[in-house]
Amino acid sequence: MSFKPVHINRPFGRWVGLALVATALAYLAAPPAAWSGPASGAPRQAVVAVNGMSCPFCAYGVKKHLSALPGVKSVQVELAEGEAIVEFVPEAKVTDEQIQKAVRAAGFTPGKIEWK
Amino acid sequence: MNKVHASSGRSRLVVIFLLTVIVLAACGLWHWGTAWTVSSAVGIPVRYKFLGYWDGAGSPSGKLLRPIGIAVASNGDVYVTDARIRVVRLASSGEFKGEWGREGKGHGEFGNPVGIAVAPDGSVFVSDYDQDRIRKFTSDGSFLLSFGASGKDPGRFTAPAGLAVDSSRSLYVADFYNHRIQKFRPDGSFEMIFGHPGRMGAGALHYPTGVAVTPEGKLLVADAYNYRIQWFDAGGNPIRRVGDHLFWLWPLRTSSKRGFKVPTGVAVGSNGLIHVADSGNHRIVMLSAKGEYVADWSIPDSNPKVFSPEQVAVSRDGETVYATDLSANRILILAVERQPAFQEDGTGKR
Repeated sequence: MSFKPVHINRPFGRWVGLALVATALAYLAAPPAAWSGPASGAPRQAVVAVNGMSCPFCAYGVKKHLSALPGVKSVQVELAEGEAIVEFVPEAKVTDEQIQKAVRAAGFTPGKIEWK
Repeated sequence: MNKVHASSGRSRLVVIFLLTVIVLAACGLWHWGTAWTVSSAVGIPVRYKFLGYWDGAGSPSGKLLRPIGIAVASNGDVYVTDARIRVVRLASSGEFKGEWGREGKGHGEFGNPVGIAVAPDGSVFVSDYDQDRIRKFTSDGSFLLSFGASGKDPGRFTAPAGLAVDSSRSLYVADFYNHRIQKFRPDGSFEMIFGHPGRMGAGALHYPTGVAVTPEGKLLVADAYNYRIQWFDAGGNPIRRVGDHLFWLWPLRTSSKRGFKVPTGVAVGSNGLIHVADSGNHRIVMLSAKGEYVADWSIPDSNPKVFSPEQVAVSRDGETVYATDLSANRILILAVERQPAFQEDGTGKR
């Protein structure tokens, strides 16, 4: 068995290279998937479902942990609704994963996150 | 061939034995997990009588908004913390007497005032759940000192909740996310830790929210998410616990009148009677000094989605009990009333 070098067709290779560069640029330019596409200049609001939240001490714990996220403007916890409403400054770049982590750190299981 | 038969017979016996053990263990755990261990007191003919509620009307900043912490001074004044980021002082008649606090990080400002306690000299301690510190004020709200910081080291907090002060003016703090109680000297210096994080066994605490000191100097802890009340001696040794069970493993509805579901507050009167804010069951439970069930009172119009009452306090004479009802923006007031005498006909009927 002998090794045969592969000869790449030069014009085809150029197109492949260009496609790779374009893909890389597009990836770098686009925000991560979890960023929810903020409307430019508008405050962003995340409505986070928090499963099992009934106790005010826990609700305040959720509020405390969410308030520590970067770019948080305000946090409102609705005990009866079982949800936290987090308002971010327009330039905030917070992911769903960060929000979920904060809710877990507060001792709860995060539910659906709805961006407004 | 015989060997194979013997072996399969033995295997069957082992399987039956293991299944029996598993079933018995499950039954035992089920019983332990759902059967309350709070026994009934005998010969304490008292009960709660609902007197009414206060909503903080008369306060310049507005009526009470989601009140959570409550304490009674030796002169009868009642102090309350609420979501307007303040401390409200009310007379024993419910009349507004004063208020202080606003949102901020300076002296006399709070992030989220939650726990409150009044020392025998009238000074007022307030825990700041968000800023992880304790502030001390005079009885009318003049700032005295501040101590504590965020963290897990001794003297630091992660969400300080309920407070209590003993006769020597030492302060006890329920350190919610650190699962412990911390004791501080009147000057704010750290003294010792009570309890350790855990779900089972003596001294284990899981999200404690309330503390109280008995007339004998023992520490009572509302071990909220272990669904029990624990006693510690002055040296920090766990000495008793009631409501001890594994209910948290089985999210079943409470059917017993003598168990707890997320007891978030505890208070003790000079008569030794203990009052528990059994928030998950929407009621206040009275226990004897030994921790035996005496009586309870349920909030008739409670919001089923919000655990309440949160914290409880008792007047110096032990006759009046106050509790915060956060979801209804009010303070509940109950009297500890002696029940009518039993008929002395030998039947025990009233």
